[in-house]
Amino acid sequence: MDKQKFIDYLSIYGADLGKWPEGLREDAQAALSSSGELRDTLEEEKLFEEALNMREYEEPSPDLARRIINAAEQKPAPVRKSFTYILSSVFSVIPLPRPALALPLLLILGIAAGYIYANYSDTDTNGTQLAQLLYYEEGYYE
Amino acid sequence: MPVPFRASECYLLMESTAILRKPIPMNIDARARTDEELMELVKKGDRASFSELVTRHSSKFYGLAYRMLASREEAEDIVQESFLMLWASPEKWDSGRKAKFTTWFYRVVANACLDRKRKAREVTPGEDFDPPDPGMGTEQILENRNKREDMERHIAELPDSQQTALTLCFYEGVSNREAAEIMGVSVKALESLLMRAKATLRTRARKNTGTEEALNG
Repeated sequence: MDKQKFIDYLSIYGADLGKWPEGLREDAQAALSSSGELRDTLEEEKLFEEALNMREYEEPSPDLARRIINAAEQKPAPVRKSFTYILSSVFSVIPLPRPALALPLLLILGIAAGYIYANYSDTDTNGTQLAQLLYYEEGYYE
Repeated sequence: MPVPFRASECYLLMESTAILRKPIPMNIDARARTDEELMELVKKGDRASFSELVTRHSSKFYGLAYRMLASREEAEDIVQESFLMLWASPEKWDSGRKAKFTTWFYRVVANACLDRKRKAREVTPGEDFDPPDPGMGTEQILENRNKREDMERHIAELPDSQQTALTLCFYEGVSNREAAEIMGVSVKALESLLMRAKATLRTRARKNTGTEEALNG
């Protein structure tokens, strides 16, 4: 393992070799035992991480969780009955013979499948922004 | 003659088969449930499950928001807004995608922070991000600055994507794989962001007299 590779891995996995993937850790320890330059690099990285850890950090207010829970209590519960439940409620007032139920049941299954698929594709919107950010800032995507 | 059959019975039949999701037993304390089970109950409007999620994770998500915004007030605000969004629209979390709740919610909070930062920049363009003018006696100014403030500034000057990667992996201790999932990039791309972020910070720290002294002990 040369110095540049070692520095790259330090950036990716940090100065605590115990947190490196097993195979790499063994290679790194072998390289360290034979190179004073790499040992100096590791010491420098530890000091660099200490400097990173000098950043200020304020603990959250002790009542943060309570405030959030109280704020949510002011809002109505997000009751969202499933589609099948709503339909069954509607049909429950009408006694139907089994053959008459077959067609609406197929219809229900078809609509439910479409509904689930629509929900599936909607949920990706949360990921879009970070991914777009990378695209625009770094000039590539994944 | 066919036996009369109510649609509600059909619903019960479907519930009892594998067509629908396995029902969650209701007689268990919220504290014993996984995040994902709690989310399923939140979708049904269960306040106790929501409260448990908030109690369990508000500090963790505050940590991310604080590192990204460097303000306790704003970080708490973001965490509260994000949890209230979760309460109002829990269906945005899709258990079918097998994502961990925390992975998804880290993403929600990170996006909210980026939005907040972007809006702040629109109000005061570049205020916190302009590098010092070399013609203005930068060395003297930097010598008088606190090392901590220097590091804050260097990190704030990083592109948002590098800053987010550094915050998740270094400060929040999230694994590279999970951080990549949160950011919606490959693990390789995430590692590249980390390398560039640290390389930039090392270079800037070396240029800074105060930090150079710190690095040399």
